[in-house]
Amino acid sequence: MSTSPAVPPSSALDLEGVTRTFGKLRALDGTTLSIPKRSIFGLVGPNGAGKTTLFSVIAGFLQPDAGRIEILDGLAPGDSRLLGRMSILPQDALFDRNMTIVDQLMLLRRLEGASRRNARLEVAEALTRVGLGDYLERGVSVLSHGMSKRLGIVQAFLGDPELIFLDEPTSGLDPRNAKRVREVIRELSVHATVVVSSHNLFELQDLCDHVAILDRGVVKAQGSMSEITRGARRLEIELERTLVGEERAAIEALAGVRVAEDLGGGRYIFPLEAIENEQGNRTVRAILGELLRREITPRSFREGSSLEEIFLQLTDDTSE
Amino acid sequence: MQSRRIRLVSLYSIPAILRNGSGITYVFITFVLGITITEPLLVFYESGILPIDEVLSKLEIAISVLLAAVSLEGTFPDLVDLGGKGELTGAAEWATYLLHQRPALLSAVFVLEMLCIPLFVATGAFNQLSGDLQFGAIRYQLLRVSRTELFLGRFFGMAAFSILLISTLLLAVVLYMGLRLDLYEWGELLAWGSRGILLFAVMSIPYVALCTMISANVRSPFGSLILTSAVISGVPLVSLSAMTAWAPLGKILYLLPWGFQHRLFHPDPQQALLAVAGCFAYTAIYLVLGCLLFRRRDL
Repeated sequence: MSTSPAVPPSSALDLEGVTRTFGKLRALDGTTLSIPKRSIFGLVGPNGAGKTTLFSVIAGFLQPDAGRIEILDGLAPGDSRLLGRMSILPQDALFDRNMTIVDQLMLLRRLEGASRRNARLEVAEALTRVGLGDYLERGVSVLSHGMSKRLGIVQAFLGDPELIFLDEPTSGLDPRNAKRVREVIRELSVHATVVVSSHNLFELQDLCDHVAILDRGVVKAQGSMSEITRGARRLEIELERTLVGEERAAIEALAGVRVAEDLGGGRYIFPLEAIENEQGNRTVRAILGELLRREITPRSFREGSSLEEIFLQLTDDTSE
Repeated sequence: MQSRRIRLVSLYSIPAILRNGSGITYVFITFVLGITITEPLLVFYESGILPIDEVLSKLEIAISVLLAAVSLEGTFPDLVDLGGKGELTGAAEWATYLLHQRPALLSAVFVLEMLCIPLFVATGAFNQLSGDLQFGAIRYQLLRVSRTELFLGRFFGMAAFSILLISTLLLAVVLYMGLRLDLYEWGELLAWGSRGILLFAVMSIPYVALCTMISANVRSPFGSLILTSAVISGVPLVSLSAMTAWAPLGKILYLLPWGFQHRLFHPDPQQALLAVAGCFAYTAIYLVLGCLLFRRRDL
């Protein structure tokens, strides 16, 4: 692995050709990725795609076999200048059962340079923010799965990290706490780059502004969320009622529209022939105009594919 | 590397050791076994079954044989034979120094504890990092502290805990002797006792470092326990039995401080200082080796 200073300032993290094998299994296979600064970056992939391995390699828990990793101004994983600037919510890590919650988090803050008093105040405030204020002096053994997850999130957000990795941060959380975590991620992204891996693609599509799809250790697609989801141009539309044959035929006859797919319940997908942006926009306006002219009210519409559809197209269904 | 972070890791690790199952076992084993092995000596004296002179003369032979054995002067059966005939001159002088120029019962306790304390350390200090490796707790700290700082912090925390524990045990023995046995002056008892406590602290450090090295590189606490116990107890057993087949194999004893730690109580101060230096050198070797492995391994 080599380090060169040529990191574009807009990048929080650059990976090039990163490979990591476990015996015969190639968990990362020449992974190349660039994560823009101050973005909320979604990392998606099927089970075994290499997401956790990728996080572990970036965090320096695992050594890569080959490749280049540059973090925050060209630093390599494990560089002491990264201490306190990066944090992670690891997927399967457990907290120490032999220390109180407050001691564990205070140690983390004090390692970053906080005084004992400030560390305690910050920890108490952070725990209260995620509803764990009453557990300050308790051990982690009293926490449920969801509470432990929230504790993990708290430690990742402690201090002032510039780059935060969250491996499945909302798995096991109830909807209220999942929403709270998403809000915290949004707040943090003003000051930090947040990389989130999750299987909840709807959540990621809503939360992230950039995304990469990883499959068998290879990045299949990456870019801004709109670039990725608009890659296959189509209009998904939900109407107040089902279209009758003549209405549907009229829309399909519009320039740039292919044969519609009826999803049932008044929901249709109209694939668009347009490749160019302006041409696509004209087609969308034409479809909506035709519907309004016929006094059919669209309840909702979305241009492009959902992240889930892109994910299913790009990933191998034999992945485990 | 920042000494502040090392200090913090060690400070926070001490309460964790106490709350940990292995830490409690360490305290229990050290106190219960540490006191138990000294008890027969004190009972012999207190009950008056044998006159103290007779006890001392038997102890002198036993200790001289033991000292000669760990100095690799011959195989154990031969040394027992020579000891019985009073032909172990060097070791016998050493034993005489311990039993006649110093408080004899306390010296005998020191010799016994010297054989046992490395084993107590093996059963208590095995889980400095392996548990955290197994359950991933270490991952929360690794982006805030370097691996070297974490390794050294855990070592210093466990070394401080071990020294405190062993010192408390020995202090209890010294105080018991001073309060219950009307045999030695408080002055000579405290002087020899303090020196012994200091030397045991020095002796325990390389064993703690060895445990740190093993614990940082074995992901399972149970595996680490087995390995530390097997290495610390296995080296003298293998060495002393292998030298009956071929004398140079006895040098295996020098893989650990077993080969020279008894010299901490040598009558010649130069020999004692060399043994102190040896303990620190072994500590450094284990720490450097352990740290190099720990820095390269997957966590």
